[in-house]
Amino acid sequence: MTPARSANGPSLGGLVLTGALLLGLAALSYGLSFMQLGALGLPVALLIAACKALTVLFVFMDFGALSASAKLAAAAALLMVALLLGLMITDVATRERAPLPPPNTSS
Amino acid sequence: MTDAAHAAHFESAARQEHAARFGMWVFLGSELLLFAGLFALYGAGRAANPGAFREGITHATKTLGSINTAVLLVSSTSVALSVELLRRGRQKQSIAALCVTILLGIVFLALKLTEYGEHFREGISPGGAGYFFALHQAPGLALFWSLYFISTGLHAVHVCVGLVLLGLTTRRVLQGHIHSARFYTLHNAALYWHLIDLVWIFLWPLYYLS
Repeated sequence: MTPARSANGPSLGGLVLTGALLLGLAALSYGLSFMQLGALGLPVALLIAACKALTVLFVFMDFGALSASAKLAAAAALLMVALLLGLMITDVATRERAPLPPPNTSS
Repeated sequence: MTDAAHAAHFESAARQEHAARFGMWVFLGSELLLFAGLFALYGAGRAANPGAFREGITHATKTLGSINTAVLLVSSTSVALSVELLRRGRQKQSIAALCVTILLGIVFLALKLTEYGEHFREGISPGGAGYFFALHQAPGLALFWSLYFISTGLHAVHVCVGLVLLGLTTRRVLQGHIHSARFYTLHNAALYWHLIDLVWIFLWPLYYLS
């Protein structure tokens, strides 16, 4: 959702509507948490969270109107986060269990 | 330096404003990395102990956490409104919106302390201390609660810093140092508050919902 803009920024009504949209998405997450979604529960909740985050980023934080240098700084941070999470996921997904030590037969 | 002019090391007020906004985004990026480490730990912990993490969530104070989510979302809206109102020269309404934001931040902290109190009464403490962990011995449960206290505690510290920042900014708006022609300080304070909101948007489903 992109609120209507005045010459300088978003309209006040647009900001209020965005707030209402965010509350609606939060209510959706809360309602879905009572349903038995099984393995889908977490991905769905995170997907809704990502929608809320993008709404805050683009409407409240006015990310689209940033200067190129500020966008570069934000992109660098996102790249670092992606690297951190990507390498963590790779580690967890490919880690092998350490073999058990041989039993101590000496007595 | 007077508030009407720019600092001596900047060639213009516009350049100073650009530097302030750029610096703020670099700072927000570093904050994002700080919390990303905790989210990565959560992901690795949950991958290794999925059952324990799901059990941990069943003991979370879902209602209080959800009310806090609504509180932060409304506060993010009110701080965005305060910036836009000041940009339009409506100083009094901007200050009112800032006061609402500060009030909601205090409500958030009060609810968070109530949550912690409930957990301590239940015998849940950071590091797997407390009688709760004698009754519930699933491997990984202590990790879940340690991460919960570290993540939400660090977030609460950020809320405190944000409240101080908003308080100081409100005073400067009241004094007329921040106004419709020069409001980037308020905008930067609002950006910090939005970051607090963004972090909570992800903490809430991970520790309270699913």
